[in-house]
Amino acid sequence: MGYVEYELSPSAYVKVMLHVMKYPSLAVNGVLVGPKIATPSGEEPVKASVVDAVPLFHGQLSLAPLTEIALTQVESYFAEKGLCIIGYYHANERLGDADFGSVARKIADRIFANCPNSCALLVDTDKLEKLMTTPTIAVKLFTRAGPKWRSAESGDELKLSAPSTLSILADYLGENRHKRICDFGEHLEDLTRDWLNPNIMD
Amino acid sequence: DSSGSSTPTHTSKRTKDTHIMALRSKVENMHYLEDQLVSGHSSSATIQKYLREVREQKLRRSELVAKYGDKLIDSGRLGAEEMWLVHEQVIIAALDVQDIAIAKKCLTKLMKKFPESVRVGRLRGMALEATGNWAEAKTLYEGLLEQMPTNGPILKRKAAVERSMGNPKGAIDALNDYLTVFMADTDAWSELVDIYTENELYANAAFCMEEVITAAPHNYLHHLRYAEILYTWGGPDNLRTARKYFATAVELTSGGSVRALYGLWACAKAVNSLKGTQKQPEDESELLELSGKQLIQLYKQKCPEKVAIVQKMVQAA
Repeated sequence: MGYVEYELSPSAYVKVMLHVMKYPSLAVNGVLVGPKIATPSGEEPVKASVVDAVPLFHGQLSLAPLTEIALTQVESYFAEKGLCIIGYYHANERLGDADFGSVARKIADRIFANCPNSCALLVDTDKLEKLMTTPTIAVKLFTRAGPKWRSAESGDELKLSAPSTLSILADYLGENRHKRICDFGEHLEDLTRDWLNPNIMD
Repeated sequence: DSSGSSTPTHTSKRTKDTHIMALRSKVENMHYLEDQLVSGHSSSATIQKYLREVREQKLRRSELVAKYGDKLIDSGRLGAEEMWLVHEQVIIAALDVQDIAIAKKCLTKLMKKFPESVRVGRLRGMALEATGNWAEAKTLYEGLLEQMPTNGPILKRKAAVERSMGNPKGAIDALNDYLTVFMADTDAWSELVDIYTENELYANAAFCMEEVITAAPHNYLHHLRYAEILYTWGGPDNLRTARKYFATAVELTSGGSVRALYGLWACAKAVNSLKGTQKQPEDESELLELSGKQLIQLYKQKCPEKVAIVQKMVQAA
């Protein structure tokens, strides 16, 4: 059966991880952006390019009003560029918590309603310790199977588009670049801070 | 460090620092001190000032506190009382950034100096927590509570362990035990709001939030948080009440809080869509328009590139 192969650009993966590392004691979430995903038909996998990530919030993620506003604005901004929200990412607060919980599912469902074939990434907290030394992909892919989100079994469904991504992240963490990343929540506190993070990969 | 100056340069630097700090807000002071530390001007005096500010403002700056606090302890600058406060502060910070070696070093000294202390016992428990030894931490806290059954900080640690273990029910029970004795502790009520909210128990979260608001009704953050909980909980009555609390938050900040304005805007929109389901239809169009206008005004001043996105959102209402 055909399936979707999600490919993360360096910008997407690095922004997710910088966001996670900026708030080590909090849950964080955000969205993944890319061109619309074709529906798989037949046996061949369909490629989905995740070209960017937008960090949304840190701390209390279950409150609705600002989440809705953030999603509306992000959708609106990227629609003008021919892109859509094609996924959701989430990092739980506690080390070792591998649950794709109810709050995460709700937001992922909302995104799925607008973008069939969207995915979700749950940060693998066990992998965080080695991000600067012997890094591996520190996120797990979840996709919708019927009404439920389930963890992808094979490793084929999630890839990094560039092999240098992991070492780029390690370098950035070494220079404390995670302190500079800005999420929508931070933007609300200070409008001059930009959730697009246009220069974070420079 | 001598209190009277020995050289003119030494005096003038100290005077300049004090003068600068007096003129700046607390937040700016912190940034100033942090810049000093990080750029290599980490004199014992600066570190001492920094750690004091962190203690007084109850901030979480564990990376810097652990690193420079350790240096400060070794510098010999600290007087008797502050010495042990700083030890405690450095232990907690070191545990927070998983520098178990520094934590254990300071903890050993504290245990030697205060062998019977329940306060030091708490730090021993936190060291166990930081290394994931939940069961041992719990046992230790229970032992300490036998010595001092109403020790607030230890009761709170019990709740912290449960929360760290991913056991919200245990944390809620422990916090409720704590609040039976210390019912005026707003932080504890606030922690309960957090736990209830993340477990989507909005009715309970709202109840606890009311306690927090009652304790500090002038703080817009509480009204805002309450409003967001009610909005998330949903339903016509909650939306109407939420609208009032969003409005209060906007009022308390004179329209300066973007978060409050967005909340008010979203809520007014939601209440308007209830129109026709009530005997007395309410019309929040005025608030909807005002909050939208104020948002666009703020964006024009501080974030002109995103004015278009906000305008689009507001016009679609």
